Amino acid sequence: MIRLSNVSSRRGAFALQSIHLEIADGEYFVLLGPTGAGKTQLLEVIAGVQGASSGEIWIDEENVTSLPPEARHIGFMYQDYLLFPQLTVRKNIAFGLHEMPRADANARVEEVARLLKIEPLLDRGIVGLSGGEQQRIALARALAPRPRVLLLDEPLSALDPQIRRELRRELRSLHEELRVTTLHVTHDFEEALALADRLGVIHEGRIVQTGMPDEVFRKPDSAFLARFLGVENLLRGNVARCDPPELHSGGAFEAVFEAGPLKLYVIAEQEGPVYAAIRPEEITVSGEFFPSSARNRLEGTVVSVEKVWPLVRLTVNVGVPLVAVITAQSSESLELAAGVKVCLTIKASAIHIF
Amino acid sequence: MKKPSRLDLIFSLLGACLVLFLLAPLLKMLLGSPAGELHDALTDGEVRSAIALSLTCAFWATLIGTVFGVPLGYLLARRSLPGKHFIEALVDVPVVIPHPVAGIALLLVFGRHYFGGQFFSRFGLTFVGEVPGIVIAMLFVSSSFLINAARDGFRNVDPRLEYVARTLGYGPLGAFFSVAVPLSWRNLLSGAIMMWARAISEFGAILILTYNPKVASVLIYDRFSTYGLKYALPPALALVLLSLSVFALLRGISLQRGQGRAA
Amino acid sequence: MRAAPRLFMVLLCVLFGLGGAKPSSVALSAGTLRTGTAGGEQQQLIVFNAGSLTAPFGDLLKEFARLHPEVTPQQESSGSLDLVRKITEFGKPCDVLAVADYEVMPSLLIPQYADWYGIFARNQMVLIYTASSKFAGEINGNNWYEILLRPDVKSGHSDPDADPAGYRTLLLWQLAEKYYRKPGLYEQLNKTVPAKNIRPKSVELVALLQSGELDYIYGYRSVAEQGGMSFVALPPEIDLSEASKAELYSTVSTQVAGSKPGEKKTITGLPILFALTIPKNAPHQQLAEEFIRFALSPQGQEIMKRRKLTLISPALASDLEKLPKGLRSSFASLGKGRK
Repeated sequence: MIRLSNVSSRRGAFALQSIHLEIADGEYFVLLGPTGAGKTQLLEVIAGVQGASSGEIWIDEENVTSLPPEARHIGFMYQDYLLFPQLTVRKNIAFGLHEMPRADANARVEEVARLLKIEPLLDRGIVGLSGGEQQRIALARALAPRPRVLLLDEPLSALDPQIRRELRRELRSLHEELRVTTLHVTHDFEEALALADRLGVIHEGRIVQTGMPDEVFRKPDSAFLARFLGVENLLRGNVARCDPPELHSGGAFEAVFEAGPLKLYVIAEQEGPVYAAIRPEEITVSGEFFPSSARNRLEGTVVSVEKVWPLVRLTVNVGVPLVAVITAQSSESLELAAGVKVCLTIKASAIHIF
Repeated sequence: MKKPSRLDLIFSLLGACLVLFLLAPLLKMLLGSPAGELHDALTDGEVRSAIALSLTCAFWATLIGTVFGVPLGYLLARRSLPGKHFIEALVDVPVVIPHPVAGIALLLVFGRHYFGGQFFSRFGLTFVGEVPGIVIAMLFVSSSFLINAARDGFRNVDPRLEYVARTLGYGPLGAFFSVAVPLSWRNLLSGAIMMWARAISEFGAILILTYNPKVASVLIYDRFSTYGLKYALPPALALVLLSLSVFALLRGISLQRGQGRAA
Repeated sequence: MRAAPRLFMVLLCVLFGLGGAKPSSVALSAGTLRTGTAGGEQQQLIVFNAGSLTAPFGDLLKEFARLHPEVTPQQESSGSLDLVRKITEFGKPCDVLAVADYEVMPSLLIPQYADWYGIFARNQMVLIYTASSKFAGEINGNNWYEILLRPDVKSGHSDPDADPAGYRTLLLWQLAEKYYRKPGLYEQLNKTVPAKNIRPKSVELVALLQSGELDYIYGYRSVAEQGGMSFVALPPEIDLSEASKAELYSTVSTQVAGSKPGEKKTITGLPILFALTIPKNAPHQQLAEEFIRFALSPQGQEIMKRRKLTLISPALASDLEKLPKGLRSSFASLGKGRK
């Protein structure tokens, strides 16, 4: 477990203020926040590499606040991996195993390399390795000494989208296998949602909200959060193929997304539990239904009208609340107000499934 | 083959001028000493012991400089010490002081009536007129090369690499030796070479503290004032050639290790 | 880009070829300099002087330049042998040469580089000390050697191979052995100055004296007085100060470095006399004569006395015939069959 209790720290321009955080044993906790929010600093404070000016840090029921990094038994991974350039891959991974007898250390290195699928790289130098390879090696290095907790600083941010998705899945399965308490910081909410058991949001050195991922998204505590997340319509539900199945290119297929009373036609790549996100601008609002190519038509009642000139934000209840954004002019011509019945039209392709 | 650009032309011309300027006097020295006299100089016992003394003292000065200067360079690179700018400026001052002045300044600290001299004499170490005096004169004028090279070398190592080492179980000293030093060794070696070279060439400061036994630079000057240029050139040349071979060797090591290794 | 290194080599070769390896004789350049004519142009006056003459000659030149604003003095101070070498080996231009050891004139300069020399001052060997020297309160011209022989008294002199004051110390010790009728005194005194207490010139010795490393150093009285330092005057029979005692001084001699490493030459005792000359290739002959006339004038002599130089008046020329006409009136003859 990791517990931070009223932790503050100041370093130059960056400051952490009264951080309270609790991560349970074996939990995968993602801390989400924009650049400069203090994510790296927080990790460094937990690792002991930066000092905290006040507060306490507990790892596995041990107060490590006054312990130096080398006594805290944590695994750490920086965004740019920071592999030791003067050492081979094997020696990099074995770096934290200096207390072990040689033979045991070697065995451990092979074990971890197997786990992360980098065995063929073991005797190579660091030059010329791809981003994905480096990331795995950095991970192997952090995991080799069997740390109590794993701290990951934007581990996937430096990778191509394709590799990122692949490694995201691997991180998830690795976690399922090893069950190491993990604190993963990122600015990418898709990543957060895909990996997190629980989620926290950090902004300007403060933890703004924590909770289950969809809770945090659906009920952002603050305007900042909503804006940062930029996703105002986020739904958790289930996707199943359409009957009859119609295939699109790239293995995507038409499917039906269900979340509570809501049913939407979407394009998906996998079945099962997913998130669906709809940008407010993608929702067309009309007084009546009109013929269009869009497959989703929903009837609902206006809950609130917020004027943010030259736009208007509309919250409409279609079984779940959806937020749509239209021009002020449109809103006036439609004479929109709370209680008015409206029709929402959404293209299947505008619903982002992940 | 690409046509040389204007930059290549101008820079080559400027560079060639400087190279020629450095080369010409050295060549004149080489050609001015007939091989026979060079041989005499190299077999002259006094010359040999003077050169040996220079090499030994420079080695000790460099060793002391390394033991005390590399840690200082590390602190200057990594920590924000109070008065850091002052220390950095101070480190550069000995290079600027006229050498006899440096010698006198050292005399006023390490002479037998002064604090340094009295402190060390308790351990049987005296400086004026002794070999340790040569070593401290060399150390004084040349240590800034090493300190600055160490500082710059460490600055070029990402401190986060040391943090990673810390999280992997190394203490601050462990991280220093396993990360900072291996990644900056080329700078450290280069700094040590420069320091050693500067130490060997020192004359004015050494003269004040210790004239006898004579190091090579003192002997060469002595030969010059007593016998004339003709007799000063061969030992001077012997010293230059010897130093050149040491440089070439050390720089060769540093370059060779560079090839075929991850940067 | 492989063109660049090749181009670089080509340029190097071209420059080399242009430069050539002509042996340059610097003496040539001296001849092209203007020789002193009156007129609005700045003229140089190049003076080489021994270290102990730096202060008095510095003052002389300053006053001379004040009286002759078109003159720019260039003063170079060095050991006497160094100065001579600059003229004989390097051909450096020099208008007036003034040394602390008149011997170098006849032995190294005449007849190839100079025709005459003039003796204008004398000096004496003394013991220089400070208030913190051991037994400073006790020492005088009679008990000096006895004090120096006491354990824990540290003394030093300059390198006999490099500085005349060095070998003069050795001669002084020999003369002392005779004068005080103490056989073995030379060896005893020699032991009081181990190699570590030897420095090339008096200036380094003074540094050691003033920092307390040494209690006593052997040097010239002029150096002591110029530096405002205390000194012990020694009997003229041993301190090489009087021309009249030349024969006595010549009864002792010592070996110093010869012309090649490993060679030795014998130096016989002589009175310490300062001498000057105008080298044959002086670029500003007229100006040099004017300066010497000024130096030996009552005004010039005042300036030199203020700097604690013991003058010989009138100055004595080695060969009146060879003196430039303009200087005939400033000198008397040295005579006495001395070269």
